[in-house]
Amino acid sequence: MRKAVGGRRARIRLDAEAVDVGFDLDERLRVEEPGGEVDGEGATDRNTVLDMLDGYIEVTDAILEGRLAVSGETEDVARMFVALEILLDGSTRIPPLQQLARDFRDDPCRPARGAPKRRSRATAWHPIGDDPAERSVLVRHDLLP
Amino acid sequence: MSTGALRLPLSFDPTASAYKDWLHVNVLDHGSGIVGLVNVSLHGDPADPRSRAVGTALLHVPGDGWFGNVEAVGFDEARIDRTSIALEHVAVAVEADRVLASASLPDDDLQLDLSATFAGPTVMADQALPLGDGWIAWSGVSRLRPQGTVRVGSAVLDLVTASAYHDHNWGRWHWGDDFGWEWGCFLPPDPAPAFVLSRVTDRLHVLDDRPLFVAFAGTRRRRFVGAGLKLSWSGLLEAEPRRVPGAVAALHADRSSLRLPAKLTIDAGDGIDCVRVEFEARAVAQLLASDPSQPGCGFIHELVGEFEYASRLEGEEASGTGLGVVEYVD
Repeated sequence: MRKAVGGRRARIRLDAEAVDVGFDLDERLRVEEPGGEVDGEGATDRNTVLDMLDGYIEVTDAILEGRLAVSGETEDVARMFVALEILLDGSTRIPPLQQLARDFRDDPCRPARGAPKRRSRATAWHPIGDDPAERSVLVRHDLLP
Repeated sequence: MSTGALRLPLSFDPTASAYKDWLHVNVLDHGSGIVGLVNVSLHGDPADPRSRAVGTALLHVPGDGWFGNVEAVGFDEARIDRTSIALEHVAVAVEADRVLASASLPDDDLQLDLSATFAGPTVMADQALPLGDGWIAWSGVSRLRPQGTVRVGSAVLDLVTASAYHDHNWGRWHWGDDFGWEWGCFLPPDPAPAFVLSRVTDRLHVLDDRPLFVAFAGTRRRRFVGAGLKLSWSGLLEAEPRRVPGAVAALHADRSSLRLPAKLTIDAGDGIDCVRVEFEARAVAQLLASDPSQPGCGFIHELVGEFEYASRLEGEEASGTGLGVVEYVD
């Protein structure tokens, strides 16, 4: 993961909370109060995280439905997803990560889990580049040519 | 007649990291069409803190979709006895001639309490079957008479008119190795014959090893193997999968668009007895099984649906319909 993200810093937002994360020069993970410039940003909410952990929504659906937003330069965003993938892969073999997920779910200081919200979009097949959900995201971010 | 004694490895077993043990129950309610599974399983060396106990409870309701979920904990957080595995939310126990299963998943709209008595003969694989670089063995009971209730979504069911099936699998394999399997139970309403299919394959489902199809009629059973057994998959299942657990599903986004067959036809015969089963899937759940000790993931597709059958067993002809569950694993 250190190799994938290098010296980049990312801001992670969950509901009203935010932290900046990155690796130090000595390659230790630093989690800090947000401040200054970052290379990328990811934002979501507690229910979306739990819906993804419980399999009610996929990452792609969360992005297309506006429940997960990731921003930054293309390479920085790609590296954030690589880091996320490494984390997910490790989570199946690293008990402390599984405990962390349970602590997050059961945290008494956070609101109780809401009813699972399933994906709302239809998944009919579309030609590449012609998915209405993808088009909607591009319109939302003013990215259509 | 117990099928449930867990096969935990001895402390000096060099293959303990590949240990798997699985207590499995299917519930099929003929009145409502609700079909699903409850199972508890152990994955990995009991002495390794990375090893996982997994509980799964998923029921499919026609028109409403899947309810239930998966929970995974360390061995030390599960209660593991000689013939039972109990997690906080999902538990299965085998006691003499009955199986007890429970699932309490209020966030996922599923509550199940089941006590099912063996109502048919057991079937057991003759010996351990090769599975990738490891092996698998199993025993099962083709038909159980359930009692209990299930609350799933907005439906509350008394299970006394439902059918149930139970099996126990154990062995040594690592998820992600080059293997697959095709397994199915097909149950018309009692007292019609019940049918069970078992076939071990490679990951591509091209090579197979000793497929087995067993028909159970009352206390009698008839086994079909070798050239007397033909399986034909066809069609393309268009149902959207329920994929659990979500974190592993996120890692394997490339497996969210499934290309699974929709129909399975089984022709079994030996010149005297014969059975034809035509199964059509209506929904699928994808259970993603990550190996706790090495990289690799298995994809267990639980296809649920309806089937028609026609049989001649010991001169007695029968035909009808029922509900089935088919596992397509790669």
